[in-house]
Amino acid sequence: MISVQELSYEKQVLAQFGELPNLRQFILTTVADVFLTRSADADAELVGEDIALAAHEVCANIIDHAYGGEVEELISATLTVKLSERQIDVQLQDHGRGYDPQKLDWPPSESWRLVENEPSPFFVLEQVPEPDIFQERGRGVYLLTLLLDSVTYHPQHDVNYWHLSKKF
Amino acid sequence: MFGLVTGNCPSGALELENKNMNEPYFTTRVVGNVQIIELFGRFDAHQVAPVKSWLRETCDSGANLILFNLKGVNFIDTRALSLLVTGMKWCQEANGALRLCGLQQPVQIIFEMTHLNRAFDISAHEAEALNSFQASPAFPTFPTFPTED
Repeated sequence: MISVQELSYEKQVLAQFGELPNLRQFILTTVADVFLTRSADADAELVGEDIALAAHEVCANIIDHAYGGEVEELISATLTVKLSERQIDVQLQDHGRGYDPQKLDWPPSESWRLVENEPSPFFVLEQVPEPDIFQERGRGVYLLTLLLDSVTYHPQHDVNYWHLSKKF
Repeated sequence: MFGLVTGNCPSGALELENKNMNEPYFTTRVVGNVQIIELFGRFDAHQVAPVKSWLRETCDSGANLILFNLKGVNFIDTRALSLLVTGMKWCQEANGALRLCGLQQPVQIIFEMTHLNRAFDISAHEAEALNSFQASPAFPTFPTFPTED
């Protein structure tokens, strides 16, 4: 009997804010189902809520920055549960405009580390300073660092990849 | 239905889609001098635009005391948090205040993670929040509210 150590699920949503609840529900339901059937001794609700909120925040950024607003384009999500590594990965793909996260107003450019530039740039999110309490924007990326163990961004000429990982 | 599910999607994922899509996001009312907005379900990027419009119109009309009753909200994102910070600034610029009440636990957790629980005056219930407007030293002659909670 082959022991399945890695389970993957896919979903697509339109790049519209009103569609994001569908992605969150997909993540919550999938994590709950996998943890239930695979007897993972972790709190499915806590893990699911964290990664679902993180994915929601990234998708909202994709809509704003990659697509320049709500459009009839797709965001594709792949959720992978790695049982032996006790890790959940969510990869998000869009076909919008790739951008250099080090050139945004927030977070500070040093928050992103460029680990390779060829053939296409690959960024790793490192520490993000806590936003000023009265700062109006920029809490999403700060929240990512609290919710997840790793965040990478890999813009390519026709597709951009976000990769979110959380240990459980 | 645009949601596509491939692979071994657990049952239930599709049935829950688009639930409550036609229900209102919020209702508003006035108690004394306080403009109350009560939100339902999700308070996130999708609801930010209509809520911001209401907030802008309300502040432009001269109101400067606003209470967000979040007792019906079970999910909040950072765009909604940003709007609350913006609203607080607008009210403060008009010598008023924006306060919150009724945070459910998942919402309370997000406020604590972002430390915004330190920025806002947060009450458990609406009556308590209305009285906190009255008790504020910024409003020494504030009227007493009839409370319904």
